[in-house]
Amino acid sequence: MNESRFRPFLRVVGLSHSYGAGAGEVHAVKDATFSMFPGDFVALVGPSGSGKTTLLAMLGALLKPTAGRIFLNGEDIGLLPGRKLAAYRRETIGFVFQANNLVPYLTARENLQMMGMRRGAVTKEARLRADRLLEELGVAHRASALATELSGGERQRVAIARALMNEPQLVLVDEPTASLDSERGRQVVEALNAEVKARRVLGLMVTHDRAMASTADRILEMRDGVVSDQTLASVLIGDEGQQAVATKVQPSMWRGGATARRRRQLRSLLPRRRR
Amino acid sequence: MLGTREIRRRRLPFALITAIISLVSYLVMMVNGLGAGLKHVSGSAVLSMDADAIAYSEDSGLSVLFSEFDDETITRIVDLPGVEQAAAISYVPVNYKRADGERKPAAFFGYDPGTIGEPEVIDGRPLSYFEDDGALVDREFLDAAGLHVGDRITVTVKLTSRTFTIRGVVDEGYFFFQPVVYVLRDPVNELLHAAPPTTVPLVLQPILAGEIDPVADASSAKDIGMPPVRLPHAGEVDEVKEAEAIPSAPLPFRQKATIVLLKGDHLPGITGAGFRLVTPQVAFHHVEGVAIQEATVNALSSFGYFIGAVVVGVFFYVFTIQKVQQIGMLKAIGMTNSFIIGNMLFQVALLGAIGVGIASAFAVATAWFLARYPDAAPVLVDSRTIVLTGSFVLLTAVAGTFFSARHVMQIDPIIALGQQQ
Repeated sequence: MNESRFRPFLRVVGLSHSYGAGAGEVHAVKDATFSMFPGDFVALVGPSGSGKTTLLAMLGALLKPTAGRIFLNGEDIGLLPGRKLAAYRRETIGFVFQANNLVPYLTARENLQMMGMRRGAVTKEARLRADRLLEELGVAHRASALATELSGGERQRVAIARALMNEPQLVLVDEPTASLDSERGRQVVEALNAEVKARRVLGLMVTHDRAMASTADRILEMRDGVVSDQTLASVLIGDEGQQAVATKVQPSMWRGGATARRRRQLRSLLPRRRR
Repeated sequence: MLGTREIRRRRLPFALITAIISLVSYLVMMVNGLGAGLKHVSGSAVLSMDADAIAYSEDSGLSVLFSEFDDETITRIVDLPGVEQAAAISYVPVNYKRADGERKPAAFFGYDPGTIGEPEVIDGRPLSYFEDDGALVDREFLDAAGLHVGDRITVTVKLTSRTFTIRGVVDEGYFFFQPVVYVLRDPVNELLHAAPPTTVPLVLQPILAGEIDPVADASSAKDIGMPPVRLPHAGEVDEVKEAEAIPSAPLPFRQKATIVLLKGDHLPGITGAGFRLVTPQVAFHHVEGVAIQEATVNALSSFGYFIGAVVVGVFFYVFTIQKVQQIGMLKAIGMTNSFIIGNMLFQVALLGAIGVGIASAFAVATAWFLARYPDAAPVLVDSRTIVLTGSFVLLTAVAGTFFSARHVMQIDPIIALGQQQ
């Protein structure tokens, strides 16, 4: 087996976060452990208050974990000094927020170009790249429209383009379809998935929508702060080697969607039954 | 990029913000302009005097109304060690007739040509040493009175009138809320002593002068505006005429000057027999009414600055706080604090500069308009007032934004996510 091919781009180990202290302490995320691979488009599902946003914020270096570590391409995010966090977020992470988080008084093109500014000026490279991304996401014809003039679907496509502007390694998406009808939502998620695949980056999408989640390669379920990998659970059903991850698995909650390729990858990671 | 584009694309809200800055700046400028204007009309002539020290008579309380020097005292002052140049100045308040016939007060200063008391002539020509009927008038006074170089003005002190011809224009300001007119010292002294002490009541003087005959024309007294008095009988008139023959008692003191201007080192603070030397600034603050007026204007100005600071500072604080979600989003996508704060400060500085610019234009226009009406509020909006007020408003706006921005930047960018949950 080629080890480098399956080297996790993102490895989350024992990640926890608590709000408050003492009797009022709330454990938003408890001991989350999972990995993501190049080209992975993962859905993070769970009811409100289950800790999805907290997990997303920690992965995006917006929130410090109270325990555990996050390795992105081998680098421990928790060890990054505060002054480097902005650059990390700008250059390594791509954020797509729920809705309306484009700068409203900038055009679609300018919202992208802003990400490519250096020393207050937009570089020529950033201009070209912004136009190309808008083209790829099918909103090039709206490049000169203000963010407020775009439809919900167009806004989300522009937001995805913006998230990809600096060629991030990890794209974090928070409820991208919340303000869209199902058809537009499906289109946006498909576009996002395609971009993640094409660039072989990591995509993690928080969603309430099970139907949208099923289009992802894997589904992570969160309930009361606990993360369980539903894809892995399906792969491991009937498998004797499941002991290694059994505590995290809740098979009844997954409804499918993982690819055969992904299953093969996952199987290869599991300990062999016999050597 | 962000700041300017936001202004360009959200014109109405930013126009309203600029209007608020303009109004606050305008208010503060007008209050300060009123203060500067009052200072100007209350005694700018004193501050314009080319002197290191001004001598007042000892018991005058530094008031030109009560200060008076005879030749002997003037000599003692001029002979003081350290005095390099000196000029005696006489002052008399007069009434003059404007072009429209209305009588107005004016401050007449008498000087000797060639001394430091001579004002700088900016139009026309200076007075010669023997030009007793010549006058140099302040530019503002000339404009307000509708007069020109070459015109004649008739002034009245008590019942004595004297006519002067305007020979030149000076820019020396006002004194005691009256426009300043410079003439030679002798005519001022003559006007000062135009009504020597007499035992004869003033109301009888027209009779003594033969202007009315109380017996033949009893109504004449009323014609010349005299207060109703009991007119003397024919027999009494003879007695009065005898009184005219009695020479006036010799004056105990004939004033030669009101104040003395001095140039030299270490003069202010010196006191001597019958005199006291002070700086022009001290002299200005002792012009009647100036101290209380300055205190009032300073209080108004302080309130103006305070209210302006609170309004502008709080306004921009709230303005910035309202951008919390947007700032959180910008931080989340990796924009640095310096980029975000820099954009906010640039935006506010730009708005502030536009607002102050508009306010300055309106304040100058208002002051110009008011200056055309001599009886209107004396608002003086000069470059100092504009620069001071403009800087104050700009600094307050930028400081308010900076502190609120610093506060906002402390907020975790997770708010960009959290506000949507």
